[in-house]
Amino acid sequence: MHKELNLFRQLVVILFERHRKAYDDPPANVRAILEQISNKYTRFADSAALENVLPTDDHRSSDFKEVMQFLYLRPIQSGTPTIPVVSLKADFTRSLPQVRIRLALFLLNDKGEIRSQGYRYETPEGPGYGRHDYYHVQPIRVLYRDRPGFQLPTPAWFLDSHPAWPVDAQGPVCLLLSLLISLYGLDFRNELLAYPMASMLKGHIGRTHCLTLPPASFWKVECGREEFHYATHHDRQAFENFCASTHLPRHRKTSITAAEYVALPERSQLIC
Amino acid sequence: MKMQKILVLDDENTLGSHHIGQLNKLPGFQKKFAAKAVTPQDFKTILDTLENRRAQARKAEPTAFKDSCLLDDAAILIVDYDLLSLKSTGVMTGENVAYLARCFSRCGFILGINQFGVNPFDLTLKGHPESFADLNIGSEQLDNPGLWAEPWKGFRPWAWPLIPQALDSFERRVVELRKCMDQHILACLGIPDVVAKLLPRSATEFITKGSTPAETTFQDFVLHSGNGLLGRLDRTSEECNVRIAAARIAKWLERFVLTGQDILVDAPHLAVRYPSLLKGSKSNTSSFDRTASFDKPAELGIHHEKISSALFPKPNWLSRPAWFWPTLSSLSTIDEVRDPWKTKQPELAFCEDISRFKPKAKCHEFVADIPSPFARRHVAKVSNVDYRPEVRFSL
Repeated sequence: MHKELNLFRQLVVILFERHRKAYDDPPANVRAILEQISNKYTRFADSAALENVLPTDDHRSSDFKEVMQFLYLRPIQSGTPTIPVVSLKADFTRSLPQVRIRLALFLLNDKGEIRSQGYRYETPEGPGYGRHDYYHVQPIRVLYRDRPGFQLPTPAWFLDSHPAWPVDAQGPVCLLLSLLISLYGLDFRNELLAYPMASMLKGHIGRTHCLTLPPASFWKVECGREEFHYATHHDRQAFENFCASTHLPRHRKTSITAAEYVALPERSQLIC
Repeated sequence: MKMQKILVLDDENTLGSHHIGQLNKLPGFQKKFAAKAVTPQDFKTILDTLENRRAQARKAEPTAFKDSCLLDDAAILIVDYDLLSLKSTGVMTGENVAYLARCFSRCGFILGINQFGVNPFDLTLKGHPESFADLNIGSEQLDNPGLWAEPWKGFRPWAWPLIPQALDSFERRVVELRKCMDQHILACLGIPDVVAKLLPRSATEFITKGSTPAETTFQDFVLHSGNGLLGRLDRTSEECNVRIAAARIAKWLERFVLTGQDILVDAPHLAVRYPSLLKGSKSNTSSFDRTASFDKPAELGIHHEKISSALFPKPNWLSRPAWFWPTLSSLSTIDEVRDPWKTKQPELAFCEDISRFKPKAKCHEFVADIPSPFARRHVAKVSNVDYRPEVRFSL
C-alpha cells in the first residue's frame, strides 16, 4: 500500500465531504459567483464520482480533466468573497510522485463581472536540474491548454511562469496542506486535526515549517502603574535583558497563558 | 392501427369508470386506446394467476408462462394504490400489484395512481425509483392531456414521459434486450467509461449490490440487485426477466442518471446553459419552449448537429433526447464552451412543473434532493397542486 497516495486520497475525499455543504444553501454573494461559473466548472456533487477519479493503489495516476469535473473548496468570505475551484492531476507511479493542483479563485469585480486568479501547486517537475524542479506554486492564466474555453478571466498581462514560489512541502500531502493553509490561514490546522485521519496528518504537519513554529512564552510586565503583555520566542534570560532595557527603572514580570494573552485587546498584544 | 388495451385496477368500480370517462374525453384517445375497468371478480382472478405464476417459477423457471392472464395483453395498466375496499385482496396495495404485474405478466406500461397524493408535484425530483410502477401520478392528473400527447398547457411535470411514446419505447427495449440480457448494462447503453465514473453512489447501488457496476449485466440486475426481482426466492420466466430489465433500467436512467442533468442533460436544461444552440431568437420564450418536447433532436429548435457527438445513443431508453454533459462541456462547436465569459445568461428559467420557460422573476426556486450541482431548479407553482416537501422551497 502506498501510504502517501492513500493519505492524499483520503484528504481530498474528506475535503470534498466537509466543504460541499457550503454549497447547499450558499449566501447571495457566493451564489452570484456560482451562477457565472457553474456551467463551465461542473462541481463534483457525489463522493463516489470523486473517488473514481482519484488515484488508487491499483491505478496510481489520474486527472480530473478526464471527467471535466472540479472540486469546489469552501468559499472564502474574509476580504473579497472567493470560490476556490480545484483540478488535480496525480501520478504516483514515479519514485517521487508528481502532483499538479490547479487552483482557480473566482470572484466578482465591482461591476459584478466574473474575474479569477489562477495558481498551480506542483511537486518538482524533474529530478533536480530544471528551473522548476522543486515544490512550488506559480500563477497561471489557463487551466487546461488542450481544452476549449479554459482561459481564466484574468488580465492577459498577468504573469504565468514566475514567480514560482517555493512551497513548504516534501510530498503531495504537504503540497495540498500548503494550498489549504494559503487559502484559509493557520486556523485551518484545527479543521485538519478534526479529520478522521488526523493522527496521520500530524506527522506531515510536523514536517512543515509554517505549521510548526517553536512555542512562544507569554508574560505580563508591570512597570510603574502600567502593564504590558508580551508574546516572545526569546529564552528567559534574553527576555529579562529585553525588559531590563525597555521597562526602566524597575519592572516585575509574571508568566501568563496563551489564552490570557489572546483574550486581550489586539492593541495590547505586544510581541518581542 | 390495432387498438391498445388499457386496464384500470381500482378498488371502487365507480372510480375506475370515472377515470375511463375522463380519459375517453381526451382528443384522439379513443382512436388509440380501449380502456376498461377491471371488475372485482376479474381482479381476484388476475391476482390469483400472478401469485400462481410466482409460486410456479420458484420451483422451476419457465421460458414463458403458459396459462393466460388478463394483464398479458394490456398495453397499459393503471393501478390505484389504495385497494382497501377490495377485501378479497387482503393487504394488497397498488404497489404490490405493480410488482406482480411487472414480474409475472407481459403487461406494458404501469401507471401507479395516488401512492403519493391525488395531485402531487415531487420537489425532490427523485421520482420514486423504488416503485415498480413506471410512473407514479395522482388520480387528478390521469386525464392531463400533456401526459398523453403534445402540445400541452399548464401543469405538466417535465419528468413525466409521453405515455404512448413510452409504451412504444418499452416494447422496443424488450425486443432489443431479448438478445442482450447477458451484456453489461452500461456498455450496452453506450455510456462511456469516463461518464460511468461520474455516476452517483445512489445510482450504482440501484443496479448492483457489488462494487463493479460496469460489470453488471441486465440479468444480474434482475436477479441480484434487489430492484428487479425482490427477495431471495423470487424467480420468473425468461420473457418476464427481459421485461423487468426493460422497465426498471429505463426508470433508473430517467430517475438517477438524467434527473441530475450533470451526466446527461436534456434540451431545455441545455438551452439555459448554452443559449447559442437555440435556432430561434434568444429573447423569445417560444424559442426556448420548443426545446421542451419529446420529439427527435432535429425537431427541438436547436443546432443539434453541433452536438451530435455527445448524443445519448439509445433513444428507446430515455423519454426524450439527451446528451452527455462531460462530452458537451469540451465541444469547441459550442460558443459558450469556447468563450464562457461572454455568455449572457437568459432571464428565463425552465419550470419543471409546466415544462415551459418563464421569466425568472415569476418562478419559484427550489432545491431538488439529488446529488447534482444542478439541483437548484424552478417551478411556476400551479394552484391546487400539492408541491411537496415544501421545505425544498426554503433551501
